[in-house]
Amino acid sequence: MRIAKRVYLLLATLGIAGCSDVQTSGSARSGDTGLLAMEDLGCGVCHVIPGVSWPQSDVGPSLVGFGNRAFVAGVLPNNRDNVASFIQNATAYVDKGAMPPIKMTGQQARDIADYLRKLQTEASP
Amino acid sequence: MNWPLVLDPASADATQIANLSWTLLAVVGVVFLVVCAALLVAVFGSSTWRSALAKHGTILVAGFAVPVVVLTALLAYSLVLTRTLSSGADVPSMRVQVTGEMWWWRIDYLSSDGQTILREANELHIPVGHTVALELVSADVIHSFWVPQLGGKKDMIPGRRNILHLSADTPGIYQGQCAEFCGGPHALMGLTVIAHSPVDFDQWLLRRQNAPQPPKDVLAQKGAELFLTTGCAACHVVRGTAANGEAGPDLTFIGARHKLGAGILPNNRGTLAGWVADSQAIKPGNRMPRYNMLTGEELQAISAYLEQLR
Amino acid sequence: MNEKHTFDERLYDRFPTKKPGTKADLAELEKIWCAPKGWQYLTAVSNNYIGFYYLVTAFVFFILAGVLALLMRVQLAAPAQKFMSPEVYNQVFTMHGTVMMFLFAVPAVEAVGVLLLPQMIGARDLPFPKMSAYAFWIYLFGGTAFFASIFIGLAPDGGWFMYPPLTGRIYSPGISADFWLLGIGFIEISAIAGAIEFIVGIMRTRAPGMTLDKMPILAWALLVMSVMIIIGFPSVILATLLLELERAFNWPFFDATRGGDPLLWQHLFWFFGHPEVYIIFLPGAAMLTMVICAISRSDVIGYPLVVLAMLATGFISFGVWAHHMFATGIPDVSVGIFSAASTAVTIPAGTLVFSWIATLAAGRPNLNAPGLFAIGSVVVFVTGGLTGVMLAFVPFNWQAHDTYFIVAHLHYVLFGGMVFPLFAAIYFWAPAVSRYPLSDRTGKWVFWLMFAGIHVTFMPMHFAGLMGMPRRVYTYLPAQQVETLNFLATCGAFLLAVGVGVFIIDVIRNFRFTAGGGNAGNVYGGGTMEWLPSGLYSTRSIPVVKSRQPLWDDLELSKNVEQGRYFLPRSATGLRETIMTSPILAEPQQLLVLPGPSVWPITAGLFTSGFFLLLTVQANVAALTSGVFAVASILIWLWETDRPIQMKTADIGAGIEVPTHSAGRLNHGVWATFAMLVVFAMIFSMAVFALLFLWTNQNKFWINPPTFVSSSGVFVLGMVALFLSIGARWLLLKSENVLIAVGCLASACVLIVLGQLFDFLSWRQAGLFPEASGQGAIVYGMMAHQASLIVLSVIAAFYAVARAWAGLVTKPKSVVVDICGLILAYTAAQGLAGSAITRMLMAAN
Repeated sequence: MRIAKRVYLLLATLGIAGCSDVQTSGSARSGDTGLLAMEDLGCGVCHVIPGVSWPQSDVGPSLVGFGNRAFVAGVLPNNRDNVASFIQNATAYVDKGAMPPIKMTGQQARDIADYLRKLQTEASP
Repeated sequence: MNWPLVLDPASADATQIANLSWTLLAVVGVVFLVVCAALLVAVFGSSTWRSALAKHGTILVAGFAVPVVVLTALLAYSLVLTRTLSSGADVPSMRVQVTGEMWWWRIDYLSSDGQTILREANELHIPVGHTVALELVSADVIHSFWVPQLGGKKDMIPGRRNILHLSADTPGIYQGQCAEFCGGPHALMGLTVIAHSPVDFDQWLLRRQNAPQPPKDVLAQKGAELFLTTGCAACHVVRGTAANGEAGPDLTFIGARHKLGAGILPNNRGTLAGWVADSQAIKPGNRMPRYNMLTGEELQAISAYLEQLR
Repeated sequence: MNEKHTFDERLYDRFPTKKPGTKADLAELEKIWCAPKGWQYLTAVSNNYIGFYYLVTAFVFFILAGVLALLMRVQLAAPAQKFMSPEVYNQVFTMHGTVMMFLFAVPAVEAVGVLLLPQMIGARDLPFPKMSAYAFWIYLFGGTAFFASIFIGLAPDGGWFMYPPLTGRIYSPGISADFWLLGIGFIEISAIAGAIEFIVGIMRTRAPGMTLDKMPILAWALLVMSVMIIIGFPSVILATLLLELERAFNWPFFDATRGGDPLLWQHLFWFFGHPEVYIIFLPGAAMLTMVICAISRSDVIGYPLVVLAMLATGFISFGVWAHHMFATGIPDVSVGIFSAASTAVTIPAGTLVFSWIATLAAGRPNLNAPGLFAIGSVVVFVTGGLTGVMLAFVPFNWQAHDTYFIVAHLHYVLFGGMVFPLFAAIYFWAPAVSRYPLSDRTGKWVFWLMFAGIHVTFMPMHFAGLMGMPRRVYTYLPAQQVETLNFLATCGAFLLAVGVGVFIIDVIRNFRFTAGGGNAGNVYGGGTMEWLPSGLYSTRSIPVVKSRQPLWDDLELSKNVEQGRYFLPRSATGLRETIMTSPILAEPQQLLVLPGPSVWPITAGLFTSGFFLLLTVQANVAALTSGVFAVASILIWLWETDRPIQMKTADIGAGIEVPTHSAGRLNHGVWATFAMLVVFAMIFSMAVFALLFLWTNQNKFWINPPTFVSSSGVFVLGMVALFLSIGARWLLLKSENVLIAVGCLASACVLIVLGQLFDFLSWRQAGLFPEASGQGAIVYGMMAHQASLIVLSVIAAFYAVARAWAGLVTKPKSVVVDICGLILAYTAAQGLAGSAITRMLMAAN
């Protein structure tokens, strides 16, 4: 089997398989930690988020250009701590909103906040 | 580096198939190189080489005799393996009926006399080192059960009951998917197999015997009520409550599942809320309607209720 | 295979004649075969035109289905894209497969045959030019209407394999599945018509002296292909009819809850579906062989082996269908047999490959455009063939089945076995029908772009499949390690498309169709007869064939042929004609008079398409009207074609006289009728298979059939009808009385109708109804098939009576009596067999 694995690796590097995903492992995905956290949590089930391809839905507001917004959900000033706090427990700020509290680590919340705050509105055509 | 799943087996059967696959890959690789070499000689070779090739003998030997020998040997190997795999060396220790539905899986753990002892959906739990006899049936169109790391696929055909022996070598989570085109969002009909150590499996099974306790939290209590009044209960069962609809997946332990929407979404309160609000945006054509008439609070309540069903 | 000599072979020595043909004769030939003008292009029936129309249409469908493929690749370029909804995607992939298989691949190889075969075997045209025209028109009208369904969002979306119950009326309401069933079902008529034409053409109109072992390989391939078509296609025709009956009238053939079985469809479909692959591969392989011969300037090495390999492929391909069903849980024994057969079928393919290699080695192959495409084909085909062998081994198949591994495999096979050979053929043979050859330089670009495109597109798909990516998915989720693979495949698809685009530019720049004379000529130095100088009348005279590469072996041949020093240097009857020869030794037997331009094939085509398409949209009255017009058109065309010829014999050159007319087993019409009856017999056999299959698998739904005693009337009537229809021919010979013979036929027809009526009533009395069970469905389905044959019989009897009334039935032998007698006898026999078999299967105790 070891030889077989070598042969496969050789083929892959020769470009027949020629692709990075075969070589990178699924669990150790690379990329922005905030983005990865959102993919793991499935935030796309309700929001369109640049960079998240799956899932993608319009149940809640789109987060395109989130970095340009002055307020989070119209109630909190848009800074890192507020965003991190809001996404963990939106109900605390918008009591009749649909967004439930979501379990995540503080680190995940801060990473997500950083990622979201980097999103700029695309130049309008 | 990760292997293609077919070549990264996690069960005895899948390992045997992977070995066959490697053998086949090696043989066809060699044959391919030989043919290419012959072709190169035929086109660019010296006249001596070429005239040696341009004979009836070449065709009879390389194009007939050699293939007959090689293929016969491989066929013998494969037929013996086919027999071993389909007769199943181990006596199954458990029966599970898996029903293909458009576009999810109904999973019934059966007693030895065929009674359903536990009904779940989209997630199959098995004990490591035991062979489970899957009884594959369909409720509507043809589906096909396939978990690449655990073995080959088998179709689920209306009017038939196909048996597939499934086992896993090591505890872990194995992804599967429907492999027969079944219309609409066939692409999103995923399946998760979770292999536990035998001890863990027994505990898991024990935990599944009794329905979860009624919710203690006020929000979840309100969700439980809404679940019955807004229509959810017409299609879903939650054991221990009045929800008894059989059309959709059993949600008694929905909160404990790894994935949502038949193996396609992470499972947490947020994704539950999003799925309930508009599953059509995520899995277009699936049988669950949009629930966008709920208020934000109601949606919260329902997702809180579902999350604690574990 | 021995055949008695019926012709003195020494007469061949009279050719080439000392005296060349006259200018006046040439002028007459040109007049008889003159080119159409304006509207006449629609009434043309000669193979030069029909073949060309056919090929262009097939190529247009190739482009259209290719565009669909690009759309799919855009959707799959990245995970979870929303470029297309699943609804649209499912239509697109269904149409891609269906159009490529039914509207491109099969018609394209048939088109090449129509265009090249007659010249290649030294005939002036195919034996039934109007039938070729009809086949083309239904293909054009039907195919276009079928394709148009995608523009209104009504395209079928159940996959090209159309598995019920997904395609049944519960899960596919609406008319999109009906488009597939009726549309494809009747386009198959076109393929079958072409096949019958090829069989008769190849067996009976080869140039004198072209014994079977001197036939060009393409003729062999088309012969094997045609036989495969008339054996394999009936199965899918039956399948589509049954599913359509289930959808329209709720007859449960495939409904497991009422004694049908969804697997029945899979058996019927793949009994056709797998041979289908070889049906398009064999002509592809043969084109490849001929191109390879030409570029390496050598006759085929191992000709007998190649022919044997083709025959073996054709034969074995009917024993491999269940390898598409290894995962359905069919019994172990069947699995073993089908696995062995699927392995065995690769052996003749290996023989072909090494024959190509040996032939290439025999000369110094020229790496021009056709040469590159030919060699590239071998590489691509071998790749696909090898993954195909892997799939024959069941445990591997259980993993790879219905994944992208299969998608990769089948595209390699089809590109290497059919598309590339077709491109090689187009570059190679374009100079035979165009004023200028295509650009060899551009051709090499096309080759390299497409060759690279194929590998970049399909090689990654193998890995995606092993990675766990199933086929027919409108999207896939991220982080499954198939993203780069899919992105590469999309890039490759566009590369491939660029290659095809460059080819189209080449065609636009250089291709100028010319049917008669003035073509670019034998640019690549081929040695077979299609490269003889020719006009619309094909060759000026028809040579005696003495070898497989006559142009290489007799350098004077072209000149002598052009000077009219061989057979038929003029029109003997003043009509279009060719020489009919014996099946094996190709000895001249008869002068075959061919029909000229006619409006009826196109009207028949229009109304036939109208019938099926109107049926799809449930405009039943309009459909019926259209059907009546179609039948009327066909009858008029038959009436016109079947004209009495005054001359009993004619001089076909060098003072050799042959008859101008024949009846019985010499007649080409009788041959074609036989072939057509084989098609009906195959439909019937597959129906019997369906009956036995349902009886075996769903016996608990069975009721006891009416007894033989209670339905003895059915059998007595059938027997008498059978005797009368066979006897008509004999009575005509003995009594020379047309009235008696035709009277026999007419009364046989009445008896058949009555017999069927009794049969129907006895089943009703037994309490069987078509909606009730699988048994009801299939028994009534068989009766429906019998009824359609009865309609044909009634038309045939009516035609015979009308011919007799017009005084056009010859005696003591008459083709009309022969053919109508055959049809009636077959109908009666099938009725007897059907009534008997359905009554033998008892209910379970």
